[in-house]
Amino acid sequence: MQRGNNVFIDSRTKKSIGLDEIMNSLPTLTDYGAIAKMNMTPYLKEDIGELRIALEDLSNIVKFAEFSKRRMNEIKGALHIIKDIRGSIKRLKRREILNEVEFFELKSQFIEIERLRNLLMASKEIYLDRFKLNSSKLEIELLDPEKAGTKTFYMYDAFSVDLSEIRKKKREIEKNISLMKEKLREEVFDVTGLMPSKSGEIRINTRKKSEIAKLKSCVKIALSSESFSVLVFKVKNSKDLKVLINELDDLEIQEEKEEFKIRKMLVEKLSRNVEKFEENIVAVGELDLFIAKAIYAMEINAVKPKVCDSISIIIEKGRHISTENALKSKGSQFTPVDISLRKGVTLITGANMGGKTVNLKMVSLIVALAQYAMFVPAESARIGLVNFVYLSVGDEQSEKQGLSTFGAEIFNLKEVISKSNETGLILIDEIARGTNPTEGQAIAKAIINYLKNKNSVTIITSHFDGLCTIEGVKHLQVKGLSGADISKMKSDVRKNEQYEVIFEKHMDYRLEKVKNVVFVPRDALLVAEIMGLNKEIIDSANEMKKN
Amino acid sequence: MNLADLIYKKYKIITVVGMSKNAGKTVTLNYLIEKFDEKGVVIGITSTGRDGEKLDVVTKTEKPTIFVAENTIIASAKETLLKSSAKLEILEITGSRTSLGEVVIARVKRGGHVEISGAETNKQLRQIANRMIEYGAEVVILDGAINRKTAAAPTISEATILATGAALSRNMSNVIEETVFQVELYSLKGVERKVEVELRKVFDEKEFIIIDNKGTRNHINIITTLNSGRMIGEKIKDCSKYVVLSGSIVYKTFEDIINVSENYKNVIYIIQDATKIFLTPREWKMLNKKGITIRVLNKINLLAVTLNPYSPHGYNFDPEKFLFSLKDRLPGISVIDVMEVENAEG
Repeated sequence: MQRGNNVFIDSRTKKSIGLDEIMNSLPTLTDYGAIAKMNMTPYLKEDIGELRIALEDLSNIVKFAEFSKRRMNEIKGALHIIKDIRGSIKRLKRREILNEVEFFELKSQFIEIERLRNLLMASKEIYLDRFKLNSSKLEIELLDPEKAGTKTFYMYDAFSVDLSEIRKKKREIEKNISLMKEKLREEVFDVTGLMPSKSGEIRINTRKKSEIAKLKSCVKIALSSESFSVLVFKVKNSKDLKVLINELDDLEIQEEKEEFKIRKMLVEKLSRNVEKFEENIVAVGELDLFIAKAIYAMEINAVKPKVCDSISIIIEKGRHISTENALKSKGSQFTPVDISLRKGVTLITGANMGGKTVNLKMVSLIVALAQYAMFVPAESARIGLVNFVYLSVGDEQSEKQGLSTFGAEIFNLKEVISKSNETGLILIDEIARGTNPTEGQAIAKAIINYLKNKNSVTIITSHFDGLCTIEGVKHLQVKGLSGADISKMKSDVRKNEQYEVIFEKHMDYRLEKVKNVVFVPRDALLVAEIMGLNKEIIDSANEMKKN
Repeated sequence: MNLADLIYKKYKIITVVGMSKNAGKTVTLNYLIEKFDEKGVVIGITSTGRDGEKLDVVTKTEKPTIFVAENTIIASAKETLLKSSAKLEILEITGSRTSLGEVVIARVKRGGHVEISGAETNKQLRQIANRMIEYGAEVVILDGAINRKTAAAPTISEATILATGAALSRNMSNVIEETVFQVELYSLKGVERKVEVELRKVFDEKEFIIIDNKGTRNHINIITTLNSGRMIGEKIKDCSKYVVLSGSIVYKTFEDIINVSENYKNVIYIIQDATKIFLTPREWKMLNKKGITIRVLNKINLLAVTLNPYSPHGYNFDPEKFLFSLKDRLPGISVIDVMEVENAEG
């Protein structure tokens, strides 16, 4: 299910429209989910069937998250503890002999995924095909030979008869050794009146001459070190003890060998099903990502988009998330916007500060989210799938290439013009604004004429007058400041309120369809005046405008 | 009363800090392990990370391994853990990463030798210690070191044992001086409780401020005390009460403060904890004589000093003389010869 990614939307646009930010905000709980997120690819026009299923699946999870909170929390809790053990899985695949810590990782993951599987099986409504988990019951049994039912791992005696036999013998010998040592210590005590420590040592100050004489005459101990102030004697190991210690060493070697054999056997058995574990990892990642998408959708009040084959986009009360968040943090709110676009060119004109750029970002974000199988921040959205999203916001001056605003715009346009018949979403903010109005207008007109018959949805914003009258172009206008209380706005500016907040309060961001309009609205001087530009300049500009 | 009795049921997390390598820390640990084992107390053992110790691990003659009994809970980096001769049940992989792999918590199923290398930050150490308690450890012992990143381990434990010994210097009176100095640092008084919460924020923000007797804060615009003594000194006024210094302090800082300020004696210098002091015993004495008062935000509860009269370099001090001299210099503190006690029953 590898879908094209590089052509759909470039990384600059992803960042510019706030898609990156949204991807980063998706609250995945596991490393597997984070990987699934990183590998997310958009669904293109031809993938519409798959996309519909993915959106339907997401919709089921959203419903589940809304109505079965407790069970959802259980599932999230089960996901949360799942760690990334791909390293151990990889070693298992290569049939490397694993160590105890790695067996522990496998065992606990088997148990954790089995638990998740049980939870999902009890929640049929979201146990969808893409999340199907393979059972690990047999593997858990294999790694839990004593049926303790815990996640912990140990080289259990029960792994083999030989191992438990060896260990039993070891324990017996250890017991005998310690008894024998105890006896030797007591014998030393009987002879010398001094009790050696557990480690078999007697430390004595060199001043204690009579005790030292006794110690020196005792055949069961030997002087092991001496300095000017202290002598250290050590209990000698008897012949029998030496034999036992030797036996113990041999048993230890046998135990190591047996443990190795068992580890090899475990790897042998487990590695047969390694694909099953890898499938589980993918399924866990998918589940985690879908839950993250669902939670995020609820957080931003997003809805399931309708996706279709036609070349058109209809959005009701659409919002641009990062702008909305920025406004919220300033105590203001985003005005949702309705927009309806069809094949060909739509021209948007209107006041400065009227939200034209944000509208372009909003449209591209909503289309991109839909095609990444996510819900969209709107009241409803009907998205005709596109094969690419192109956004030019006129600020991409490319210093690297030594291009000016205009140069960069043309550079990028070249490519998009060439594929304009391959069904894309083409958004150009203030077309050709970086050059003189006469030529700029001419270029803009020519581009619109070229794009209006192509199989793409194009939006162009502009302040040029001459574009309003082009045949076959839908024209939308920002309602703007026509009904606004200008004196109140000015006084708010004087009170040092933030511009965004003031404009947000008074600006009518809604778009209305207009026909037979020749001139674009003249709001630039008014906006400059509200923002408090020097009065002399405003007056002089108004004078010139009249003439 | 032995050391284990001083700890059991009173403190859940203790730190053993060695004055230097081979100062007797491992002997003290083994001593504690044995004593708790005799009492049937389940203990947890972990250590502060081994940053900067790697070289020494190679050159060292004696490996600092310890013998752990059945049921003991240990937390150690994966690589060191897998080298142990004890048989272990793996309980948890903690997510604390170190240069020797993630820290793993395990229960000893069959006694044996282990090498322990734990987490590298205090926060992780604390979390791991708490997990070990959840796994059944009645007392958690943190094996600490003075000269590591996690030197402040004593501040996250409820009690601290300082291990000193002949390995520190061939000259016994040097060992005693250094030990007494360390004890003085570990015994620094804490701040008044009512300013504690506020000060914690200052240290969290790594700020430097002066608080006057009305409680007003005056920010000192520096990022370290090194070479900033004059700036600090110039800001100390008649009404100044506390000088709060984030980060470490060195002698030069105070020299500079004393040089420019008449009021240097009338304020209390507050630092985060005793491990932030980088002074020689002589410098410390001089500052005391000059009337500098230092308090700490995080007090260390020094429970005992253990000593080892034997040096692995092949010499030793007269155990009794060493013990008596230290006891004489450290009134009110338990001083225990861990080598001597081993033979007490004899």
